[in-house]
Amino acid sequence: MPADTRRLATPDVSLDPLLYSKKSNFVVLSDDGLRNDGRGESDLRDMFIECGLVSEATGSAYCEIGTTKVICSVHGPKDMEQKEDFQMIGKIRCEFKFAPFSCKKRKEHIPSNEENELSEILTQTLRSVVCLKKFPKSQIEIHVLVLDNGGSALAAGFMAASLALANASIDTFDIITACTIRVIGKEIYVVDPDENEEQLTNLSKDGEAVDNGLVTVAVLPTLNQVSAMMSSGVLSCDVLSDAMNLCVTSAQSRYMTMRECLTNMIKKM
Amino acid sequence: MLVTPGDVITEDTIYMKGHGTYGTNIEGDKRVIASVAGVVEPINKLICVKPLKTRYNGEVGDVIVGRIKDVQQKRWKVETNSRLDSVLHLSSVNLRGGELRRRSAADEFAMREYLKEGDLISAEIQQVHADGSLSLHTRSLRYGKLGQGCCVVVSPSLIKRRKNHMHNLSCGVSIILGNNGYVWISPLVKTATDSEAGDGGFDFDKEPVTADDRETICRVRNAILCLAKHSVMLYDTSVQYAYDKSLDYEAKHLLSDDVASEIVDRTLMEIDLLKGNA
Repeated sequence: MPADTRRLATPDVSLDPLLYSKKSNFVVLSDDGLRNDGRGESDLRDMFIECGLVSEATGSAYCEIGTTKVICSVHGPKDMEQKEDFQMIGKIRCEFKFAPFSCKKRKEHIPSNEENELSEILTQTLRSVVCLKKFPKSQIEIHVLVLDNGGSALAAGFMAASLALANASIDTFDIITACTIRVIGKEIYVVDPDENEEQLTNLSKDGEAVDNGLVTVAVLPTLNQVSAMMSSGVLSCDVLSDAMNLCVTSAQSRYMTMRECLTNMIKKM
Repeated sequence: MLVTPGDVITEDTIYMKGHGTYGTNIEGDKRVIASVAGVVEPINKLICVKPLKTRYNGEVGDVIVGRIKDVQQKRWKVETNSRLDSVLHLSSVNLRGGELRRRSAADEFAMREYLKEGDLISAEIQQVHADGSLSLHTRSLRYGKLGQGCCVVVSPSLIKRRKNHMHNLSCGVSIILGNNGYVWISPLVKTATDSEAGDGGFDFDKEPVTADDRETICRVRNAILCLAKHSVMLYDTSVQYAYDKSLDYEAKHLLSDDVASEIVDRTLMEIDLLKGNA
């Protein structure tokens, strides 16, 4: 990692304060089947979403799911840099970034591998949703910034990006709804995990490594198509397909909130 | 009818798909689906969706006001609120010393003396290319670099297409309603016959603008912003009426919402009266 020469060096002997934090016995589901915040296994957190916050951007949206806060700004369509080859379809450039203060551990300004991977996934997803044929020789830039990572940041990022594109009046085939599921063993599918449930690296109750992972699915609700599927961890085929189906139905239920936000935005005009 | 991207507008086959809509090219699927968030505008059998923000789509012959963004070899790149930057070729401007002179290498090097980054110009669209980019020209003494005045940006959809976009309002200012949504307000310009022949429209009047003129310009600008806030079409009559109705208030008060709505209501009434009499 290249050294950051602009900041003062930390004292020689310095340790991460998290090493001293009390280790809690984190249990995902209590005995009566409720999670730590009182939700059931398949309950989604409330979502707040609003458009048009960033005045400098062509379009923007802010999405809050529980404590996760994500802001997306869209610039364009604008001229492509001259260096690129001439193309009759538009180009999309996405950046997915965690703010340094957003997670428990401070994130560097230079994009990490995880952020690069998420940027790439966002680019591929949005490429399938935006009508690129209507923007020859142009490029659209989309920046997603996670201000607070309270779990399901990628899902919130997808939804914020699609509303920001609608706010910028860029032609898209549909709006994107997304959902994340944490799989812990064959039985437990935790929908819309928060940051503790996401980062759970423990094995399932019986100590199994298989069927332990995170699945995020982005859905185009009216066209009934899946536009992104990302999974990490070790998941067997049937568990993965069950998790995907559950993700799709949960994502569909986000559609009404997003649609209401867009109609409010049009009415305000 | 308000739609969001992905909403099915109709399944009837008689309708054609316009701006802001698309159809799945699947055999037997006749749905017309919206691709932007906005209001459905059916024009006879054509279904369009009018989005919140529109970029300017140029037509040949439109008058636009643009800002020079870049100086390149033998051309300038002009920012006109369209999807792609517009182009103003060196051969499309009037040079000092007669119009029909061949452009030499010296002209190329001296381009920045004529127009540099940040200058505002008024021009006409000469050509629209296949990808939607525009070629401009300033080959008339009416067009050229804009000097002292104020530029207001509104949505391109609010500018009414008329035969004439440059007006001298009776309140004492001259106004250029660019089709791309950029409106230029300046003190009264002398007519083209007064200016020196062959100056190419690059020199502008550097006389100091009087305080009264500045106030009028400011009032016209605020009146235009009031009209734009309430989505009223902008043309010389509507701007003139809005100015007249605003004389009851101070120019700076026009920026507040209640004063703006009052002025717009009275302007609309006056326009209706005019239509009723016509």
